[in-house]
Order: sequence, then C-alpha cells, then structure tokens
Amino acid sequence: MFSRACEYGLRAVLYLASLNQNGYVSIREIGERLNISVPFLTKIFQKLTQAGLMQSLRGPSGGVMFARSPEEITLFDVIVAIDGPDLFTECVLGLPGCGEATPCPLHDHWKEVRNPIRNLFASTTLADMARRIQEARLRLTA
Amino acid sequence: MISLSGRQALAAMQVLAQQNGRRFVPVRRLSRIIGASPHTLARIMLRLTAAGLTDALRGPGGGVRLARPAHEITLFEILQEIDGPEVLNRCILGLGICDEVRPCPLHAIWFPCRQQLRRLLAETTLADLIHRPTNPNQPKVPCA
Repeated sequence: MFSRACEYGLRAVLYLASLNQNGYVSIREIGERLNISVPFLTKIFQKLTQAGLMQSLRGPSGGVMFARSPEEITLFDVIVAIDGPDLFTECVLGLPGCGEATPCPLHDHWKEVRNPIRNLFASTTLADMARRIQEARLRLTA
Repeated sequence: MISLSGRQALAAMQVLAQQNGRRFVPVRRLSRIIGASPHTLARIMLRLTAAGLTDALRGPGGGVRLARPAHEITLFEILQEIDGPEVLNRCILGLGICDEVRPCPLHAIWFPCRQQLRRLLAETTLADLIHRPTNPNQPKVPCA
C-alpha cells in the first residue's frame, strides 16, 4: 500500500507524537528506537519538513519537531507529503487509460473503497493516534 | 498497494483475455502493448505459467496465452502469484505479523478496508475486465 519510506515516516511521526514532549528530538534517537536507517530517515524528514509538517534544527542539540500541533496534523497529511496523492486519486489496478471517462471495471467499486479510506486518514490526527498508542500500548516496531 | 509487477501482470493478462485466450502472443509484443520491459514481463509470465494461469510455447509462432477461460481467473489469483500469498495481508506500517493479538497502531483502521479490497479482487475475473457490462450502472468502456 505505502512505500517503505512512507511506512517509516508514519512510524517516526507516531513515535514523536506519542513521546508528547516539546523540543527537538534527534533523528538518530528516532532511528535507533525504531530500528530505521538514520540516513534514510533523514531523507524522509526532509520531505516532511518541505511539506511544512516538521521543522528541523542542525547541530548537537538539533533534531526534528512538529511545525504545528499534532492535533492539527492528520495521517493523510503525512502520507501525501511522502508518497504524493496518487494512492487517493489513482485507480487500484493502474491499468493504462483508466479514468473517469474510460473507467476500468473496478474503477467505481474502488472509489467506494478508496474514499472512505481517504476520509478516515484525513480525519485522524497524530494526536488521536498518540492517545491510542499510549492507552493500548500499541507497538511501533516489529 | 499493488506492486508495479502486480499491475503489469494484470495488464498483460487483460490483453491475453482480449485475444479470446487461444492465440499465443509473443512476450515482446505483449510488453510493447502494456509498456513494460520485455525482461521484466518475461519473468512475470514465467511465474504465471508455473502457476498454471498461462501456457507458454517456445519458438516461432510461440508466446503466451491464458491456460483457462477468462471467467475462471480472478484478479486476486494473479496478484497472489506475483506478490506472494501474503498480498494484502501485510501490515500497513511494515511491522511483520500484525493481527488482533499484536496490532500496529493503524490495524483497526486498515483491516476493514483491506478485507473489502480483497473481496473486490477475488470476485472480479479477467472476463469482467474485457466484457462490456450489461448493467447500465457499471462502467461502459473497459480500460484500453
């Protein structure tokens, strides 16, 4: 469903949100905690920073932090920042020529599946997820 | 959601279904039609042939064709052969085995969507991809 970068990015922001702390957190710490390569994670955070979801600070006490409150960042925002909007706009089979004018047989059915998924991701904030993770002690590592 | 190889396999099988299933289509020609590399498609077709979904014939006049009628091959079968038996069972966060007992944070959100998509793919056959539907509510023009 998601690219590897998006899987890692979601885990990283969910981890940050569940830490529930102010200030910068080093990417090295996040990578070590979640068992993700630090250079790869750095690239992922660059995308999140460019999208205006995170801010970063270089240097020894630097790292990343949310650019706005996790109450105001949805799962949809994170997914689109890393993987782009295709998942929520393209047809599931990716058959050439499929579109509203010449839909494939799954096009309309997929829209019925896709739009609720999109709405769910767009209405779930990182703060919602952080609460769930803390309450149910959900895992962010394999 | 579905790997590039999975999509290419579906597109190739759709073209074969359009040939009424009986004619062998050279893989090179098939690759041009669907816009995939001949090497990649050859690997994909090898797997589909090993799985009994297509027949292959070497030599001049050879190529690949459906091994069964289009209405007996579901999209889910094709994807399973290419992306493995765990296609659509994978954890959405890539955390390995993920279920009710050991869920990831997104499991509760994703599980019902996954089931719905799986059902859709398991209920759709190659014949559905090529036949003009008689139901006016269904899409009228299949994908090119």
